[in-house]
Amino acid sequence: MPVAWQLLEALRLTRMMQSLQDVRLLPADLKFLARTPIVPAEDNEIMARFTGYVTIADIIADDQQAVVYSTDKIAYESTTIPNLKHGKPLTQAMLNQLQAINSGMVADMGLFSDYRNRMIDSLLLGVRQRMEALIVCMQIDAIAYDRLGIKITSGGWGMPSDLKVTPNIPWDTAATATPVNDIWGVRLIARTRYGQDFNRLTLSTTAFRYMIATTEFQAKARLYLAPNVSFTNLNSSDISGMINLAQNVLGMEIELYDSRYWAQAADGTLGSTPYLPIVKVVLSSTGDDNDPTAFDFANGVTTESIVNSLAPTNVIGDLGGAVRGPIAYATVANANLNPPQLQMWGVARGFPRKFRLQSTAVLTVGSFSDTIDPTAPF
Amino acid sequence: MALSRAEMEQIIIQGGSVSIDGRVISRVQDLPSAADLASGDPKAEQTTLKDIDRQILALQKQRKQIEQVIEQRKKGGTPDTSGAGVA
Repeated sequence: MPVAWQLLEALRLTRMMQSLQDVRLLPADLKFLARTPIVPAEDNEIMARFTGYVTIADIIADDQQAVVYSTDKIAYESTTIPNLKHGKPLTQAMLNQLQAINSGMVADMGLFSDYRNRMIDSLLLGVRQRMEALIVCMQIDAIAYDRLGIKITSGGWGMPSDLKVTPNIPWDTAATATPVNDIWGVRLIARTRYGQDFNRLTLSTTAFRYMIATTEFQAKARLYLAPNVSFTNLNSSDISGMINLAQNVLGMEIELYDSRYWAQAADGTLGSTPYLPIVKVVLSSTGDDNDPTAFDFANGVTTESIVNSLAPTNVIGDLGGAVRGPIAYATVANANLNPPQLQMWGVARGFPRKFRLQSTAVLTVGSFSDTIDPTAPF
Repeated sequence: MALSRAEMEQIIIQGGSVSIDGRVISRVQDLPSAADLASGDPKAEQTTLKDIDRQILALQKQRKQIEQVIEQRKKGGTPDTSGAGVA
């Protein structure tokens, strides 16, 4: 007779995960993950970056020698892939509750399996959220992390310094800030110095609202309004209307990105953080979306699956040999069932890599604070 | 409030750039002077004036200190340990 947790076999979980995590069902708000190719990678994989410049030819007189220029170089670098992992317990009390619910029924009726599926789904989503957060760090060329012994105080992916720009007047100074010129300035440098045409702007709604409130923006937007309409006649709360106007002024696609993730602090409190800091504005090219020559996410083989294929472990069932993440699996918390608990895990091994260092630029447009309360509402 | 010149220098030293009305500056030596940055903004002009005065005072203090050392050496009060003048 089938029992409720028979479905907890890891192989079935993996398959269930794959059907649950159909690519079309990925949350639409993980914008950066959706446009980053996830490629198989090995530890300490060596990447070579070729940099070459085409130089203009010299004018050489007859019977004279021409000069040879050496402008090409190859730089090597490697990435050590970290684990992205977290788990959730299925405690004795929860197991007993579920058993009590099931005991009166002929079959599971989906109660336990639905609960378990949601748990797997949330674990896998959590892994993908960390992937998204890391990719955003790469695109803004800044990472700071201090948790569970991993401490990264300041890191980057080699973005050129003239593509990491701070306007001298913050955008929340409406009278004198020049957001349009700031963006145009970076676009000009990217196009002329790096051959990169940025056609998309990704920013928080807060930063966008500061931008459209500036005198400079409103003066430049005036050109796109009817002669008898001034900016004061417009409803600046109409965000989609303002986006259309700003797209005309800037000549770029504008996307607002306010998604946040939840993280548990060391003291157990939940707090939410935006993936994209509200003072950061990312310039990118739609042509680089899912282009592995620009950037990718190196996806390594999960060590858990290797170990599980080599020796008996507490994993329930079989992971099917060495597999790349993200995967989810269940373990018996204690081999002696003391206490009798299960744990569910979501894991991947990966790290974002940037090959074309100029594929994004970032503006730090002020130091204004977030008005969204980061604490858990319920 | 606009960034001060010192803040701009710090941003550049840390590997970034500064945009002044759309002009992206990536080298400290390319930054406008503090006086250029302040001109036109009465509040910033006053702050910059005070800052320059403070710098002048600090420099004058250092100058006075060096003058005293030189004076003492001339009087033979302090031995020359700088190595200056040694072939």
